[in-house]
Amino acid sequence: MEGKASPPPGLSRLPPGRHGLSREFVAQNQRDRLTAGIIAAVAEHGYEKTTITNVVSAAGLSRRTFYAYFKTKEECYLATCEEIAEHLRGAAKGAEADSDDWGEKVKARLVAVLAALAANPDLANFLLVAPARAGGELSEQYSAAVMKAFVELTGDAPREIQRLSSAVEYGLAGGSVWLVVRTLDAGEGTRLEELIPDLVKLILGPYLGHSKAAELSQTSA
Amino acid sequence: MPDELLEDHQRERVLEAASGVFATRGYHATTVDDLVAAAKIGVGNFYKLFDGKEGCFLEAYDRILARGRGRVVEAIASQEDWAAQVRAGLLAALKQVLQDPQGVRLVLAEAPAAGPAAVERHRLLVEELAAAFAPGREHCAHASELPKHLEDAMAAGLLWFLRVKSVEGKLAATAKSVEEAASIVLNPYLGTGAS
Repeated sequence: MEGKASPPPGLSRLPPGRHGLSREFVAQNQRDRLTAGIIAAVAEHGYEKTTITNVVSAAGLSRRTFYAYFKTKEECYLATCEEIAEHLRGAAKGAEADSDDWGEKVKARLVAVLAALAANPDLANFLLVAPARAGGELSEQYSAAVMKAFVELTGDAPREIQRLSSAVEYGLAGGSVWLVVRTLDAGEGTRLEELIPDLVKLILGPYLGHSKAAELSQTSA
Repeated sequence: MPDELLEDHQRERVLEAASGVFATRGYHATTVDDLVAAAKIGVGNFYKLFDGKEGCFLEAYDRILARGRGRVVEAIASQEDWAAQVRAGLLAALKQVLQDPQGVRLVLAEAPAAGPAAVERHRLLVEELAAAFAPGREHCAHASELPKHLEDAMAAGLLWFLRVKSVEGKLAATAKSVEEAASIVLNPYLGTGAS
């Protein structure tokens, strides 16, 4: 198997040797290929069993190129997670622009993020399931990243919205991630958007009251 | 000692040692060599007791969970009122967590990493807890407005909270800690605060 995998679709292999492309362009292209490579490799093997050989063969690059960018598989994984998070942040930001109301903003962000994940379940698995399955140190970093994401989702509540205790925030963040992970585990990643009404009620209920949250969950995005 | 008793005794000893190894090294990094070294038995004897690393992990998991479950069930039975039952169950769980932080790591952090059978056990644990919370709907004036998957989310959220706080060393079996953890479960039903 090793070395035979072709680059993932959408990634063209640059011809070897001199190709007159700028150093920056080649670097960006190689990095993007490593990003796509590790996502494909983790989707196939799971995080723990993925080797750097799997990553470079999915990316159509050499091990040497891998080490020019990353020292370890973990470093490559975390950098890729950060890129995905940045992409999701962008989607959320674009979606919230139309609303002034905080509750509607939170809902718009949730809708945008779940739509992005549903469109690419491999990516969702990479970000949310793989680190839980890895255990150890990575699962601690995962917990911290989820809490950070929860703050990004809800942290800009205006003054008049009541604050929640940190315990309740942990409960909401961990519970929301569980619903998403369970859906992904069942192989139903493309149906993630069906969770939106429940997640809106779950997350916004404690802040806005259950009636307001239930109302928001029913209006179209 | 009869052979069976001897084997049970040995099994207990190995599981105790194995729990420590799984919790500190993590499931993936643990090898059978680590387990036999910690338990001070031969590899051959290890394989007489377990069919391998995964089998040993699952037994260690079941043993820790059975211990915790026994205490929680007993605590719940001592109360009549639903909210009081939730608080009593949580106090018992917190005591267990504090007494055996490695067990918590194994059950809450490593089980999701330890293969399909352990992942399934973790799912069942969430469902079992969720079923225990469901009577909260009877105490709730706005039950029809609650999320459909509320109980599953709260059960998983509570376990998440316990895991993170346990790793950070920030749990205590005090009234304050119980109230914090209980608020995760009770708030959605009893709706403290939000209008």
